[in-house]
Amino acid sequence: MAPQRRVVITGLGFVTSIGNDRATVEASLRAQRHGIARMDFAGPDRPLGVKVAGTIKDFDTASPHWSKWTYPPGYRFLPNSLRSLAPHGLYALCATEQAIADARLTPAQVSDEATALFSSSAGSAFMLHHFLSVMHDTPDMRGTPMGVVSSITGTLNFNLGTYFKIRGANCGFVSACASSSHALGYACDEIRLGRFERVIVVGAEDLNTDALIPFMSMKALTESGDPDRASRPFDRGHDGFVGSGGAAVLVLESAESAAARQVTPYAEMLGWAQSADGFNLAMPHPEGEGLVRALRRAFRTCDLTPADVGYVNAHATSTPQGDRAEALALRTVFTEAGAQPAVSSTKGLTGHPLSMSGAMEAGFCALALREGFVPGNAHLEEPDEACAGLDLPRETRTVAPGIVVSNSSGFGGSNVVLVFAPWPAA
Amino acid sequence: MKSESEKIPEEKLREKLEPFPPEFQELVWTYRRAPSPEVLAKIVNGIMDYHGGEVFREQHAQKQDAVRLVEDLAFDSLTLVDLSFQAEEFIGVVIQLEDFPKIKTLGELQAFLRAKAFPAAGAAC
Repeated sequence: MAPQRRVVITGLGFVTSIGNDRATVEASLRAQRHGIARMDFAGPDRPLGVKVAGTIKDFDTASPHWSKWTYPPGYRFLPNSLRSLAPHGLYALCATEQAIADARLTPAQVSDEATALFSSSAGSAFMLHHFLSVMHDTPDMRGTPMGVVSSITGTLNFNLGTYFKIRGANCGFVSACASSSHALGYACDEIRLGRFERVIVVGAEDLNTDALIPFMSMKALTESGDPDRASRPFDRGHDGFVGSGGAAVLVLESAESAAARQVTPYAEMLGWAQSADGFNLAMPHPEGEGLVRALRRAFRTCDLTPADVGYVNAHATSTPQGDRAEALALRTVFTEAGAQPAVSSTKGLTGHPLSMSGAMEAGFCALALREGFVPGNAHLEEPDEACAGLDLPRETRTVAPGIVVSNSSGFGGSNVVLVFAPWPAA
Repeated sequence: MKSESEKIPEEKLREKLEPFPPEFQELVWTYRRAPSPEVLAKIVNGIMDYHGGEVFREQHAQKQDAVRLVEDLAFDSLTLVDLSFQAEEFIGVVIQLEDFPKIKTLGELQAFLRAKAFPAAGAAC
């Protein structure tokens, strides 16, 4: 059997609540500067229980009309690039441009046959709501021609694939909050199999009333109005997640291709694994059984032991059930094996951007690996008793993390574990 | 051109104009009160500017009415459908999709709409 090709991360792009570029994101992670702010979801006459979000700064996408949007200076988009986007499509366009520039890919390389684009988002309930309203309000129900392509799941693929002239492959992944981690996993496999030299992996989500407030009916969102304490994964006071949105983009590439292009990778992606809980629609297995299986599969795949891992970027969203299940899974896999990696959830800083969280946190892990730090647990005061024995740093540690694991879990019990290592390998 | 009773209601027109700049909105309201070939031409250019942005402005400065919708401005089928809806809503003229093969340039679009909106003046334009 031919030796497996090695896969590295060569480009990053961010539009997140804690920064709209790599340098700002890194500074926020190091300083534990959160991106959560008060947000008025339904107007002053309809105060809701949900009061905060991980807001996206320097963009105004409140209107369903692209011509009313504003975005940071430095980007330049023509009307025919914006007309069919949802708000998260604009974020994704910006973050993808960053990642491509960061990876020093030329337009010809981006659209050669060896480059694919994998993406994930929930689509845009906001745009769908708008266009269906227009359609139902028009006597002949003709709506508008951009309604479908700007709103349905897949809108990222349609738009980014066209904009960047992607010719390798263009597809999407849907597994709720594990979606962009699945995209990264399958991207890694495709490069290993030699089908592509690189895959641009995109996760993005709207942040608006239509995207977030439906989660309020599930009692999944915190009703805390204090941006400084609302998102506190693993803390005894966790009482629901803080929603967020934005876009995160990674360029995964074969190590040979990166070397030939003389690009210094951020990190290596050693492998990944997945599992399913087979338990409940929205709740994880209470002891994290599914996540345990995914972690153990990932270690087998990557030929690692729990003791090899230095840092776990947890999925923990600040919901009591989710945080506890993950903590118990980590104890089963690591503590029972005598291992004690640092564990943190960066959602204490960012809030939870749903399907993009896997890509965003993989990007954070790549930064941590190249720059040598371990993000802390923002707003953690008194750990939930389920976390007993876990190493939960409060502050960011300025140490090289070693092997890094990033967890993601989604509705229906989807679990994904991604494994990264420093590059070059020690 | 549509009769007064067939025109889009004012409230709906206001909604349709929301994505456009105020000066364009004013042109459409002017046309609604007193249609004229001159204002029609400005509205058509405004619709082209909305869809084509700076590419339209550059191409228009060079080629005037000879600007080609598909080749020069990269308008695709969705843009042409959008444009036809806007012509109907703002000018009251229906462009059928089968008309588009005959409309390749800005000048041809202007002439088509003018002839439909002002049939009596068509020969003189």
